[in-house]
Amino acid sequence: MNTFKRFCAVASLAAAIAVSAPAFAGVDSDLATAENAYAALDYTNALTAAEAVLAQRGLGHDTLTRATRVAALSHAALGHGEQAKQLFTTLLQYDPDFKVDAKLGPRFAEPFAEARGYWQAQGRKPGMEVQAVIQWGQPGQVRVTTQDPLSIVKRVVVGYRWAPARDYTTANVDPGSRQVDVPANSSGSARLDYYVRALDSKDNAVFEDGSPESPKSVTVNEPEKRVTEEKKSIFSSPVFYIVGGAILAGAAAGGYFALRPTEYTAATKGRTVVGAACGIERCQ
Amino acid sequence: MSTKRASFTFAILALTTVACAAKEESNPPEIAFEVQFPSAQAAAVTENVKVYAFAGGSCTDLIKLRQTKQPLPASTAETPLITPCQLYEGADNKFDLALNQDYALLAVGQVAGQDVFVGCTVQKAFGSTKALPIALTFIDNLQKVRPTTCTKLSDKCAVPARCQ
Repeated sequence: MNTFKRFCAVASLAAAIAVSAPAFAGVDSDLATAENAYAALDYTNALTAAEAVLAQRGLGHDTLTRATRVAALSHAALGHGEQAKQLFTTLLQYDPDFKVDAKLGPRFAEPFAEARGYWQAQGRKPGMEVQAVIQWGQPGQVRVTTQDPLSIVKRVVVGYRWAPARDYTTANVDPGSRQVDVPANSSGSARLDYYVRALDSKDNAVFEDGSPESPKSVTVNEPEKRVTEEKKSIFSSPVFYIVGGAILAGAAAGGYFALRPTEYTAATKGRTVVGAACGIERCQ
Repeated sequence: MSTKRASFTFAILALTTVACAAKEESNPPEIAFEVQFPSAQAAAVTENVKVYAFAGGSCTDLIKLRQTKQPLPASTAETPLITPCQLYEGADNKFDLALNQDYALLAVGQVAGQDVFVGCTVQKAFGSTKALPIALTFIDNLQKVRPTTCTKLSDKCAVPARCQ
């Protein structure tokens, strides 16, 4: 019985790997196919492959941007002005700095110009700002602000871990200005790894700052320990004052007895000195 | 105000210092005597001398007691037995006497433990005065001194003695 259960578990894991691996491999393969086809001026196949990628869920920001770019350019090349405009508009959301090469001609330039005009009319640039506010030994925050005029972003995922931990703690917040609390670091860790992803309805990363595989990092430094015992001045020692006071008192007393005036009283005794005389003269 | 306070404090300190001044007796004045031998030969043959001080004593009585071999009254001070050479050299010949009394100083010279010379004087002068002689004479007519080659006490006191 146990052997059967173990077999089923292994078989299930193998099946999951077998299904998911081709899925990721398919995204990468389709994206490569799309970009290669576009480079080969095979816009139809490029569009097909790009749309196949965009049909997937959970795309990374780079994959999402590249697939949208191929799709937009392919539509433009094929003369699908409206679709090209929509995708350029979306692409400028993902990559506001994208520009179409002016040499490509009006098929490309016109829908792109309309898309850029849309964003210029919005008056604000899409994007996401992330700020990690961390201090040694204190709880911190990861602050996130999303600018999403198209309302594509549905949720924001914030993942963090204090190295050397491997697993991330994740938090989901709504778009807009939000903050996620981060607990204080333990004494053994000084680096916070984090990533923030703004996801659309298909969990594609519209905006991305770091990733689980390549996180952003913030290092906090342990404040230098203050010397609790300041270098003691001799003047702050009570022993100094006791010894010094004793020396001064002794010096004062000694000086007093040494320098005080002496009052001589009249002698009360005389001291005899007896010599010898031989006859009337002192003995020779 | 502060000047007055300082002056007052200084005055107190000065008075305290004077009040607590060390009180010390002046050095004792010298009372000089000379044991006056009849001659240098007499000094040379005398073996030792002893000087007694008696407060208010009578020289006549003291000499009489010594001549009659009676005990002397308690002396105020006295020297140990000292030789004429020690007297000559100034050794072991000092003792203190209170200045508020007069003293009779009796000197006795001996040879072979027998009194040969005696003399006495009353001390009344104190301070740096001429040494008061205590003139020795034979204690009685029975005493004689042996012959000696010494003409000077210094010859007797020389080491080795230059005379006998």
